[in-house]
Amino acid sequence: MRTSRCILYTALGTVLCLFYVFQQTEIVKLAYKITTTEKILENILDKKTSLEYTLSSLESPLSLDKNLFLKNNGFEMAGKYKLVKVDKGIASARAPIKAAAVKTSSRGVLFKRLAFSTIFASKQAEAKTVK
Amino acid sequence: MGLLFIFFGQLIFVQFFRSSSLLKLAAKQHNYYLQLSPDRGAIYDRYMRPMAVNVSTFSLYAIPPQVKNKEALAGYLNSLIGLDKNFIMERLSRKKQFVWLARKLDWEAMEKIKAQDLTGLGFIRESKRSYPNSKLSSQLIGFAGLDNTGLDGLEMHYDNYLKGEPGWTFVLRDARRRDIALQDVLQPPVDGYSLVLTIDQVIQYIAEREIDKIYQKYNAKGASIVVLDVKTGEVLAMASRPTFDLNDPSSYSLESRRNRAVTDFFEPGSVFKIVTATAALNEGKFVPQDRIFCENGEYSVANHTLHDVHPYGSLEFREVIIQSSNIGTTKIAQKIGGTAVYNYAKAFGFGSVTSVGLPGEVGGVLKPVSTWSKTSIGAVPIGQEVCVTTLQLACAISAIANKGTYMKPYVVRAVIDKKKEVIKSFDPQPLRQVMTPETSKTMRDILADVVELGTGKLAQSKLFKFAGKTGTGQKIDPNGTYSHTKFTASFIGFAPVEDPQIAIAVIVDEPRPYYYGGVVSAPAFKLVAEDVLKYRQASEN
Repeated sequence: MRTSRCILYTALGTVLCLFYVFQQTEIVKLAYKITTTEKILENILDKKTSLEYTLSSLESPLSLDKNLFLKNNGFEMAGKYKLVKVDKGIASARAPIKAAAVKTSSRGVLFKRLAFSTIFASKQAEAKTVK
Repeated sequence: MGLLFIFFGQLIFVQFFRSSSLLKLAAKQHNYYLQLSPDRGAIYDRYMRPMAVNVSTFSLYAIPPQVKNKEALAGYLNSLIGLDKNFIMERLSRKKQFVWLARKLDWEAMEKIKAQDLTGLGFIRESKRSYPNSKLSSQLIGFAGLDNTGLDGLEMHYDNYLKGEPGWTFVLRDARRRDIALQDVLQPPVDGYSLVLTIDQVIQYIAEREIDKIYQKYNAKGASIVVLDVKTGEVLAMASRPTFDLNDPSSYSLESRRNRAVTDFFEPGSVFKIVTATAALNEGKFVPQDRIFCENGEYSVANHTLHDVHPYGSLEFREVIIQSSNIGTTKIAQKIGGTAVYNYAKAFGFGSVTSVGLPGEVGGVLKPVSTWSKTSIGAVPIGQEVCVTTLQLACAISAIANKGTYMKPYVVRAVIDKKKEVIKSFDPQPLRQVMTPETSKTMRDILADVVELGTGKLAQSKLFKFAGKTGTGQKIDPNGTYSHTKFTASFIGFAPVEDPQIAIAVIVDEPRPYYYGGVVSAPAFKLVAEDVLKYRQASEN
């Protein structure tokens, strides 16, 4: 009786120890995975920064100058008479229509789309020359 | 049994007597202390367009004992990324475990080398300060060194905000020296704050484009331009020539790194007449229609003969400024007195730094009246015996345009953190009322006539109405006399006249063959002002 109890406790202790070792191994394995993933993430972020930098360089006025203005393509700063002002009221009025149109089309209800287009058909983009 | 006893004894010895020293040894092998570098803050223009950012780069190192064929490797790296063969050989022949071969290589170069899988080489990731606009606003922004410390311009002046605080951590590594992410960062790095400037990248480009044109056209020794927002004092653009590439500052001379708009002072010549005229009108000693006899081009002040470019008889007060008569201006100054001229020059900000927040700013020279010589009354009012900076001139003309209120110029709008939250903001600061709004209105009208009828005709625009003042300052020869070959051509003005928005100062140092401010600088003012106003209109719409 005493021997079997001793064996039972030893076995239990051994299982617990093995479980602890297994747990520690898993933690280390996960840590390796985290390290690898972090490195990948770092690389991706580095590439993102690098691409953003390249984009900023290309968008810089000096770069645009080289590609547009110096080639004498006729580009110049637009004068007031060349500016077109989009009416803010129309632009904001169109926003909910657009949202609603998306909603209805996703439902695939044809008559609703038709109703919207009929009601708001007269609302066209309006542009005014700036005086 | 004996063996078991020995084994058990050893176990007890290791566990109870050597454990602490073994723990230390293991910790030394597994853990290492790592300093975590903070990200240096970025620099943005007023619309958050990046002007200075950090880009990851890769520094190439070698472990010389692991490199088998050094000569072949040197040749290979030379062909791949153009590194000098002799330099590589010298580095590889050192009796060291680690040598740098190239610092801060870009992605492309790193990937080229990595693809070859060369033994004995490795990369360490480093952050490099990069400037997407290369030469744009280079003197203003300045640059940071290899260790990411600001060395010039705003990078240096605001280094404490930009640099951040390094952190540290203990990293656990295995028997193969691979890092294991088991421990949390003990002291995370604090990234540097970013700067949002008052500079508008597009206006800066317009200003630089035009200053570059006249710098080259007139073979000038130097040139500078400042564009200010009249109502706020914000510096919209500031540029100097010669210039340099921010991404490669070491390839340029020290001359080209100087921000001439704040570090160089010069005798302004006739542009300084705005001070004398403002003093005369604001003190109520003159009205624009008062007549002044201009002595037909020759006038003696304490045995020193003054001349006008064109001889004039009797001119109205306003015509004295429109035609830029030295004699007329001197006579005005004689009537109001040297003290008034000095006091107004002080009020216009001459003789002291503007505290714009840029390194190396000088205050110029403005002598107190007590130290004036007998001829000073014929010199100071026409812009001699005084020295000013381009920024001071821009601020002065801006005060006239802004109903007489002198605004403190500033170049940094806000300091922000990584989440774009404002840590510190800089607001427009009216410093003093230099003149009454009525005097300001009269001066604006007179300066508009300078462009319409006087010496500044080349600044006329078909699209807008401009106002300004020309100046041609004689430089001083090494023998101490005024030079007849070296001049400073200047034009200061504002636009549009009806509701001034921007003030511009254009200064060209030693232009050749033409040297008059009205010929050299006025056309540049016109082109910059036109494009800036068009751009602002487009932005508003």
